[in-house]
Amino acid sequence: MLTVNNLHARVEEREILKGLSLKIRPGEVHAIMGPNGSGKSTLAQVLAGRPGYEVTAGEVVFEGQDLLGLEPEERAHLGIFLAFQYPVEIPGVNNAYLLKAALNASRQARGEPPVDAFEFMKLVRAKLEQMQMSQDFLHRSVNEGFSGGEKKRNEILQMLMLEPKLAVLDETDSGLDIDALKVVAAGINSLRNEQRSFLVVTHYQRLLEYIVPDHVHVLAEGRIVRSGDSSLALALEEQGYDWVVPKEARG
Amino acid sequence: MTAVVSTDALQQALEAQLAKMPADPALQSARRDAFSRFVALGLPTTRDEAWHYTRLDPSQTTDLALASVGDIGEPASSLTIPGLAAPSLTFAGGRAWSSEQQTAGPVTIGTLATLGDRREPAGLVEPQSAQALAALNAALAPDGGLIEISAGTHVAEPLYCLFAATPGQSQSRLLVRLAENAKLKLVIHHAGRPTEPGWNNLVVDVQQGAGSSLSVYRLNELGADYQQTEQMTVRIAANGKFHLATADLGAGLSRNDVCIQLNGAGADAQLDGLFVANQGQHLDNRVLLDHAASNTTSWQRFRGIGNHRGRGIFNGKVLVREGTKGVDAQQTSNNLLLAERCEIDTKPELEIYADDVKCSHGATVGKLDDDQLYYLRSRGIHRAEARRLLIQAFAISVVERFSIEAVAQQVGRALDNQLTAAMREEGT
Ligand SMILES: Nc1ncnc2c1ncn2[C@@H]1O[C@H](COP(=O)(O)OP(=O)(O)O)[C@@H](O)[C@H]1O
Ligand SMILES: [Mg+2]
Repeated sequence: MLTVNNLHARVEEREILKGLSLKIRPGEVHAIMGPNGSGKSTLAQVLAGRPGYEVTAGEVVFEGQDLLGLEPEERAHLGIFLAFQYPVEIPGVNNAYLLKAALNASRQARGEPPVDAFEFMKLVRAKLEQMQMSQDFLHRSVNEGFSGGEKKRNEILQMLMLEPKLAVLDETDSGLDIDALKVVAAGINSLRNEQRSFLVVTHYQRLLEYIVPDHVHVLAEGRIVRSGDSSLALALEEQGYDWVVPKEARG
Repeated sequence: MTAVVSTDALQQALEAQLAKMPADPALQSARRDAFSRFVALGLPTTRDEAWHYTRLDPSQTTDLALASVGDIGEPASSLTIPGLAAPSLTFAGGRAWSSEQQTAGPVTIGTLATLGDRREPAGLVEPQSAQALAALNAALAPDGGLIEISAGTHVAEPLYCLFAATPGQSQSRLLVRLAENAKLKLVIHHAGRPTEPGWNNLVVDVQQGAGSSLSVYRLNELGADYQQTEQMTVRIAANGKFHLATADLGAGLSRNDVCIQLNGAGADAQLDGLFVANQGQHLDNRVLLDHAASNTTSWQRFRGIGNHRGRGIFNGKVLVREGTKGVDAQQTSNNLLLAERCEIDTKPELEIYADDVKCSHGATVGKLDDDQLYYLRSRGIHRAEARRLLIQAFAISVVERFSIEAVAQQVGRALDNQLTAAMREEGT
């Protein structure tokens, strides 16, 4: 589904990703762990197409298509979704409006008619309930004045509405208490199937107790320095990163 | 550059106007005095501090022949705001028509001519920043609209005043009088896109008695070649409340002088303004908030948007008079520059001659937020649509202050049209 090959990327003249390779097949859940500043979010943003993140070498292929030449919205239309580590507040744009516009943009790109108002409300109500969010949240501005936990729930709500093929979740677990974590994890798990893939960026093993990954990778200094199965996450939790991260790659 | 005004034609227009009026020496000399004041002052030039940013071109304004308009009767329904009752007063070419002349009872709506009203233009306040224009209006205005609400009367339905743009020069006036504890909502709507050059010079004179409450919802969606200068003066007695929501989304040149006097304790004025300047548009807002009494309060919140080759100005001044106490005045001006080649000038001013005051002012000029834009695009929303959403989000706090649903929707549509036109011009 997704092949990342020898990816080099720089942000503001600084090289952050230095030859990263990764292959995700349909239905797989990959976890990316690694110390702060190792480039996890940079990878996530490069996949989503953030302007200013310059790819200097390598390739990213999604379902046979070169992603790197595409605009962020075109990637979204292909079925890529990024749950932001720091969701952006947008005062004056209401949540319901964003959800509907986003849903219809993807439908339009697929040649489908826009969702009708009644169907949309039915859908969004069901997803809100699933995320244990109240209805009045629809009339609030996107992420404005939301607590950290509410913002993360909102990201997952958007994901549930858009049903992407590949979801990149950037530290969706950070800042959540245990109850919220369970709701968020259940939301993610509800979308898991044989076709849909996930790239879960996390700092902690905690989330991976709920979302068991097929593969775990350690990112350090812009490269994947070790890959393994879910037991690798446990080992990292117990022993830290020192034993997997080469000396020259430690901050 | 000096604006050389040819006054001969104007002088003739004055004589023609006087000939039409009842032979009332006092009235005639008041008009002649006003005309002399205009001639002495001349059209403002950019050397006048209050006109630093805006130059009136005589060929587009005072040189234009006075509009001759027949009886327009019912206004073109293409101009009126859907969902709102038909206009109570319609103005075109300086003349006024009243659809529901009311002369008896607690509400008076009509034209000065038909009401036989001798209320004299010379008795009106001429805002210092646009004295010449107000004087010219006093001399030449062929008629005027009058709305008078008697003491204690609450008018439930909004009154709608439509100013239909016509080719040529229009000198229009509207007088609004609220007696003690009266309450009114007023819609002022400037619309029309004449293909020939046109200029409307409008005086809106408002007097509010003690405890009265007036909300004015003003929308300018004039054609992009039309020129308009407007002087609104509002005098408010103790405990009077005035609220103005105003949106300039049209006209080639629009200059608004809003002059508000808070004359008694408890008087309060709230102004929310929006302007969106597209290519070739010059939108200038000038506000004077005159706190002439103790314990008076005001806020001004203006939002300006500059598109490709657009020009917008907000110049708001708060004046706190000597000897007042407990004045609270707030002023903010937030502006969004959407293109490299656009200009917004913002100049909040405080002039304070008292000690016990609470005044704040702030101004920002910024661009669209890249992170917000990217966030929306990452959800599949096209760049152009995402930009539009963010621009509307910037404007929404003002649009929401148009608390009559039908008017808010009209403002929303006008904003949308304006943004669509801007995108076309930029080719985005
Ligand atoms: N927008 C940015 N501008 C400048 N430097 C950045 C930016 N984003 C990230 N970086 C830098 O890139 C490196 C990797 O950051 P990031 O990908 O956010 O790491 P992680 O998510 O693994 O903590 C860090 O050194 C960080 O300071
Ligand atoms: Mg990160």
